[in-house]
Amino acid sequence: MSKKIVIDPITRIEGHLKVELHIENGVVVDAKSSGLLFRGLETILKNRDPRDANQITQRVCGVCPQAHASASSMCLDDAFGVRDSIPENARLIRNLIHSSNHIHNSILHFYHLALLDYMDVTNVKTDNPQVGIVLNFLKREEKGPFIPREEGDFRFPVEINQRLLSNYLKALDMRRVAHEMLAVFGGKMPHSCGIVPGGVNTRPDSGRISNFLGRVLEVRDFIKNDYWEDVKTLVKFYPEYLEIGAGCKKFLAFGAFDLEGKGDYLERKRFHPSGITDEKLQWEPLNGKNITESVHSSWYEGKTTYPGDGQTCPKRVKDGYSWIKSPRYNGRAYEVGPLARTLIAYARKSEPVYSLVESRMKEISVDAKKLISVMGRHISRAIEAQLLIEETISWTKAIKETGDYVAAYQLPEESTGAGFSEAARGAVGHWIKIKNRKIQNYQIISPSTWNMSPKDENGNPGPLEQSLIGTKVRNEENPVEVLRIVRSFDPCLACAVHILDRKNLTVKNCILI
Amino acid sequence: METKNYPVIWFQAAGCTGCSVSILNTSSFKVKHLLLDELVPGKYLSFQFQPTIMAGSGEKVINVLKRAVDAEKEKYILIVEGALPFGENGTYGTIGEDNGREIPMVERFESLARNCFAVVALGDCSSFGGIPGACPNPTGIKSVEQSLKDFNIDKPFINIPGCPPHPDWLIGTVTTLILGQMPLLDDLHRPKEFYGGVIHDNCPRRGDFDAGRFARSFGEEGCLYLLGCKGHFAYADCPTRQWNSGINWCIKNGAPCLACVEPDFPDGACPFYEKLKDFPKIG
Repeated sequence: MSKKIVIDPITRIEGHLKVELHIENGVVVDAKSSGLLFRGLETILKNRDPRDANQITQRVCGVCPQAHASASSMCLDDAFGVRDSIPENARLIRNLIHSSNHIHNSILHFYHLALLDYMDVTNVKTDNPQVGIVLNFLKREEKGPFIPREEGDFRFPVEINQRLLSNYLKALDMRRVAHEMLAVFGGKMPHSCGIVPGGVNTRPDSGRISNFLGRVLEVRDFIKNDYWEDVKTLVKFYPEYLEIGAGCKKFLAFGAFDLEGKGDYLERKRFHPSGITDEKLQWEPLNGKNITESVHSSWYEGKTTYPGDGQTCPKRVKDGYSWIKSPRYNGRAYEVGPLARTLIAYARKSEPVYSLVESRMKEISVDAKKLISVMGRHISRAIEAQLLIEETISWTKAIKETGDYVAAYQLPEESTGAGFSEAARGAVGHWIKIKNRKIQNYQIISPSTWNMSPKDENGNPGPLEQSLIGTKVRNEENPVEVLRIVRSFDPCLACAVHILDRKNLTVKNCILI
Repeated sequence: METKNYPVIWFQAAGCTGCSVSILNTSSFKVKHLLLDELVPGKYLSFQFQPTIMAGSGEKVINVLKRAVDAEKEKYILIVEGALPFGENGTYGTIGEDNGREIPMVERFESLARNCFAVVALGDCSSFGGIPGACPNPTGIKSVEQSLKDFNIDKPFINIPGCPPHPDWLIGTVTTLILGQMPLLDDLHRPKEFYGGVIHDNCPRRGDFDAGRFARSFGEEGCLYLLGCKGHFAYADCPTRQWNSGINWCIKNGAPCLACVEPDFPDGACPFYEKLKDFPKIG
């Protein structure tokens, strides 16, 4: 007999997500993922000065604003005709601002969003300076936000549990320091102000550079000595999660962190390369024209279209269950995010990713193909953090204290542009149409739209839905398996939800914010 | 000494989680002390509901909200992050279900606000509407103040605007509240301690403004007025407190102020990179 379980709200994510499951004989046979908040940012962007898009689109998400600042500034650079003229210093500083946020996100995600699914806050015995504060806390009657929680599957022995808990607390500081790194060049965080069309608006001096590097060293120590060790511990105690949550097994990346300043964004050399791959781990280049969006299960009328040409007519249709649309590549669901980036770089034998993946997988005696799993997503995030923190040092050393920081441009009367980058959670694209020096149309496809998308008209579930189907749930009152799978994707729903345009119900571009 | 517990319900509505992330960046009080320890001697905050970091999911956490309303009347501080979407009967934003019906955020807000001790509107969205409330306000956004009025709820409320707000602005305010005092508020219900001074009056580049030295492109020295700075009408202590443990702030970084603490953010500051055409007389 089929039983329906609804989990709403899913916590320890960004935004508002509901998951509905049908379970038969303890196995998930169907899953629906629903984004439940809609703000209408495309409508809000219309008729504004194009240069404002950079700041406004950061407010799509307070956890990954730099992903939007990066993609937006690239989109505007393209539209303003300065795509290939961004000064070297600006390219480097943009990378530092953006990568600081990726590093922050890896730490935040593992410790503060995911770990409570595995680590028991109440399993503490020693009154040492690291965890003594928790012992006191546990004497309270009310133990929010750590209780209530899903129960029944905490496996770490007390010494290991205490070490993880101590690192959970240390990581609260480490992520704050990662944001300080960002603020050195970005002004403040969240919602920084360093990246502008044409480059950056800041001139760093050696004082700021040393401020930045001092913090890099602190975070690097934590990533190498604590974070990676803790991920290994998780894999050791929960090994079956190398077999759970594989999902659609198709991966896509736009790539991020320009290593050169010329050429098409999807073709230029990037630290995280662009491309597609699947479980066979063969790399192929990405062709943006093969992206379509379906509204079959979304609360809009219309049909499947290329993102730039779509119609958007909001309607609570009978079969619709989400404000999120369904982006597809060649008609199939593709996962984006750290796992996608890692596998694409690995498949392409791109260094330094390839060598680090090989050595880390050897360290834990796991084959690279097992990365396509819940644990694989956590491992990928940790590997990315290790790579990026080293790369920030090279980028910082390459900054010259003289030279330009921003390219001059004229605001065009009419133009179009597109920018492609990666949020920590995956590929993000921004598109603009400018008319009369104002935004006529602005469009975003963000990573969680790919990952959390509902079923398309061919009945293909989205990547998250696919990763849930087939999962054994031991205890329906405490569906920890489901929650661990969901959180491995690092959902960000403020980004994912579709914007609707109510004014013009005829031909409209599809926007996904 | 007996320790007193101040339960906190942190409700996320139509926002972006930036306010939560900003508060996690606190350095004046370390976050672990905020979450697990006394805030001032003898008193602690108990974060019963905070979706970004809380352990449980689904029905378990909806029950926390219900219990606050039923059993902890007049005791909990309600922090609202994000604006309140009233359009289409509130269906633009829902949290949790009841007998298969998705419950609008505005409905949850009403019952939480009616039974709380005080409301803190955290961020520009909840204080004034912010980004989702910007023209043309597609989802029928209202601020906390407007929503309380429309629901006929008479509770003390404080606005802590900013996009995002500085962590000190929230923690400093909550500390004052749990010490049994209401902070001195301006006419926009913002604590004067943090929002009492105009950025322009305290800006390190004020001397440049007075001497007529203006930056004409990004990266140059000088006042940022010609590059769009709206510090003339932004009330916040950014120039002195600075951001992210005092490491930097917008104008110091070379970026014009967007006045993100003001009621008309973003529209009143747009276009961000064009100079103000009119500005209030500076005394």
